[in-house]
Amino acid sequence: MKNISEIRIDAASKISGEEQYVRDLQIDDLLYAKTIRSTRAHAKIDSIHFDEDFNWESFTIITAKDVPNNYVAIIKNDMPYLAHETVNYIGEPIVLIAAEKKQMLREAEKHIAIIYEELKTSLTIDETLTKDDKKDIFAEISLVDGDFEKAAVDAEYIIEETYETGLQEHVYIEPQCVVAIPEDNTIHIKGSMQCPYYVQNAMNELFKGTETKVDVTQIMTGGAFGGKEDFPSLICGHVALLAQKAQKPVMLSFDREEDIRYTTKRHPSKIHMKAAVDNDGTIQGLNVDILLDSGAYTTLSPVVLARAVLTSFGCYRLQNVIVRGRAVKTNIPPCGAFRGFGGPQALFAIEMLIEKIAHSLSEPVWDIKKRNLLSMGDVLPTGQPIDYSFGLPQCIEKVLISSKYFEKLKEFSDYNKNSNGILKGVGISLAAHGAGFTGVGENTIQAIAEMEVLTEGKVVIKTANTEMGQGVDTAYKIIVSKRLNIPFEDIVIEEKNTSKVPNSGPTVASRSTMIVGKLLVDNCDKILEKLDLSAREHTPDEFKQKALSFVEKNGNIVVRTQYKHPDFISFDEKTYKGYGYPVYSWSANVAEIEIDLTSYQVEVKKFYTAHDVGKTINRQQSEGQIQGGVLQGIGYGIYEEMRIKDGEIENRGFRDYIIPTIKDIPKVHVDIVEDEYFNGPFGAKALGELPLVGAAPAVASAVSFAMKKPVKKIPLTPEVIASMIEEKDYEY
Amino acid sequence: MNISFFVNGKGIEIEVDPLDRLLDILRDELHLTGTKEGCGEGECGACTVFMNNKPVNSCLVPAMHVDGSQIVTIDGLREFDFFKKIQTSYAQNGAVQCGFCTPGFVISTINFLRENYKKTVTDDEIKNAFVGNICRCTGFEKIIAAIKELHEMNLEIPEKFYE
Ligand code: FES
Ligand code: FES
Repeated sequence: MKNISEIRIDAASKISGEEQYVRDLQIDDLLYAKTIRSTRAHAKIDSIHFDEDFNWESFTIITAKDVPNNYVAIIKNDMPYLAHETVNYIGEPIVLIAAEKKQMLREAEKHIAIIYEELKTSLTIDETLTKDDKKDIFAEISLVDGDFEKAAVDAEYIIEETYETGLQEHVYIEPQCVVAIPEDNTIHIKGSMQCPYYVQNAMNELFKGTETKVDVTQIMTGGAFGGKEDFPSLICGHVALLAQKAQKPVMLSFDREEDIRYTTKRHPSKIHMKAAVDNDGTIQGLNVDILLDSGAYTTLSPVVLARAVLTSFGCYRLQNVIVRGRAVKTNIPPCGAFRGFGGPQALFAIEMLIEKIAHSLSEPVWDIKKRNLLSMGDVLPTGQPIDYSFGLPQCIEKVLISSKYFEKLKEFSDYNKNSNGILKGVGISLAAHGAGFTGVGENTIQAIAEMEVLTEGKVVIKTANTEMGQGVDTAYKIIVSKRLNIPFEDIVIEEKNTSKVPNSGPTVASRSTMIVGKLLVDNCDKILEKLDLSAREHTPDEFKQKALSFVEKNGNIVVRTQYKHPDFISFDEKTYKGYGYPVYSWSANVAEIEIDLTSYQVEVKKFYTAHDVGKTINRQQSEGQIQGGVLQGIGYGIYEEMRIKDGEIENRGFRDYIIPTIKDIPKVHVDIVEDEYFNGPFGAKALGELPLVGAAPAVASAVSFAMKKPVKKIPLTPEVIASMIEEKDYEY
Repeated sequence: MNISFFVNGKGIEIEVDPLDRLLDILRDELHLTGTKEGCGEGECGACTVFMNNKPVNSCLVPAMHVDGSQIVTIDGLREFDFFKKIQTSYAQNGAVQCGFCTPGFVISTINFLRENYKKTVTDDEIKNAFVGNICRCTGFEKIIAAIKELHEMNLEIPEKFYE
């Protein structure tokens, strides 16, 4: 196979600042939009007053009564575009205004008054559960395997704990921004987004029964991490409504404060785990109770919960398992998709429980992990056998060698005996990430990818999968270039516009390379077959010759492939039995940390990780994804804390929402393991999310080692470290 | 109010709102969109430009301070030879993902290379020099690799980009 460049196709234009993001588009006659938001966490809207002495002539105004179908189509359609009778969180949109200048909007905002009648709020999972109202449970899942109660009676020990994780903000560096441009009966939406077809679907529902048509184009997206998965549907609706009324283009661009306070975040969690354990540390049964704080509306909570449930097994061989998961309503801003999608919360809990088992039995953590480790041929509590593409053992081997884990355990524990002022720790985590949608989600989506060979011999790739920094455009070019044996220059990526590309599904769940990349391979094979080149022994020139003469005779070649799981992959949504995912990606991680005993600040000094991703399509970019994901996971573990007071997010920006900077980075050592997946392009499976999932538990494990105390909560901010020092919990 | 200043070597006279920031003038009035806004509060560095030859966060510079100044943005640096070397090094080292932080990093890189021409630098010095630029995608490692490679190339950066 020829050597194909790894250099991103968009690198040069991004470096020179010529790449166009939404805000960079020059649009004539543009109006700017502003959202007037609720200042109450839960209240009845009594009335909305527009100051009669203010000149509203040059403003376009929208309230709930102007919205044809006021519920955003996501899963449950319970979130309004604009609050109508009640508001359910601080920041909920109530009124939209648009005008030619941003200053006019700031002025106008002062002349709108909203009168509320306060209602009782519920700001935490616990408060909601005490109300005991079924309506407040957005989703519930239960899975039973074997007999936990019996295992508990038979077991030597019962070891249990409750684990908590907090909100996390994505902090894509490009804040949310979308624009709607009306033209006759159609509104063209352009935006920074992951899923143009999610938005298309939401807009179809919004304007159902009216004359208005919509098409959606994704513009180069400056980072997303899940934060531009479900959220853009809401704000695209906002600009579409304004543009339709004003009959002018309207842009809504968030500033950082608005973005931090009012967009979706990672679900906080409270997870209780209870294990029935033998004398030798073998887990005989596990009972898990997962609670996710969904915030005010359902958004994607049912599927986030599904992944949390299926990740709660960690990488361990389990039997006699009960998992109950609930996603709970509270009066905080709605939570949504975020890299890992329920996985990081659940993995943190199971990894910390394993540590507690080790502490309780006075065994080394690694021994307990090893004793319970999944191995090839084992069966998950869902009934899914692990019998292909299982690179976890190689990941473990690699990371134990690169990190010198066992030597560090000894070295650091000696160091800590004589240390004053600094404690050192080393910790290990194992992570699994189910690749693609949960269950048979792919069979519902029925993703289609198209390719076309044009008269000049160029090959066009048509998918709806969006470039948000993860490198999907380059990955697709590499796949097609390899399979067709043609140069990069002859491959064109079609604009991600819903009137030009088929619905290849959303750019989420680490699915784009594995699922859609495979459709591209199949499309390539269809093209080769038409050209009589199935033997794949041709040169690039031969391809071009054949393609040119074929197209000249028969017109452009258009091929499409629709995805369907292999037949043996099935899943029962009621019992949660079957294939939770078609395959898993695996990682093993070791973190080295130091805790400063004056400031209580944790610092990650070194991080070692090995990832089994099936096959790397672009090694350099894979490493980059892993390094970036690990750092975001470290942020989740020790720095990133959102504070909520009376339902209001207090963080305003980068000054008080601390993410890792260049000074906080450890040296990250990356190993890549390639245990190929038979149904991925060249064997590739999931990569995008996994790096984040294992990072925080490795850091937490290291902190626990340094302090000789259990970790029950992340982020491990100085306040949490201080309280751990105070706490009378066990020491080991 | 009226201000006059130089942008990328060109003299400009323009009427601006006193509340505008240099960033708004560049992006909204002059359509120089290579400079990005990530936070608007001086914390992320996406909006970095040269002002009188020093890197500044253009989101923090009020319009009146722009009067009489020399501004150079990423848009005005593209044609220089040293820029092309930077472009190649960033691309080859995989230092770019979503790219939204990148123009700001490039300006800081140019400044760093100029200040450290033929000097030895430690990793900590590099990190200190870029603490005002935030990247959420890359984990910084590949950016640091590009900066190191460029530093070792002893690229000569002119004292002034435009007369
Ligand atoms: S936009 Fe100026 S520093 Fe972030
Ligand atoms: S590449 Fe996305 S923020 Fe740096």
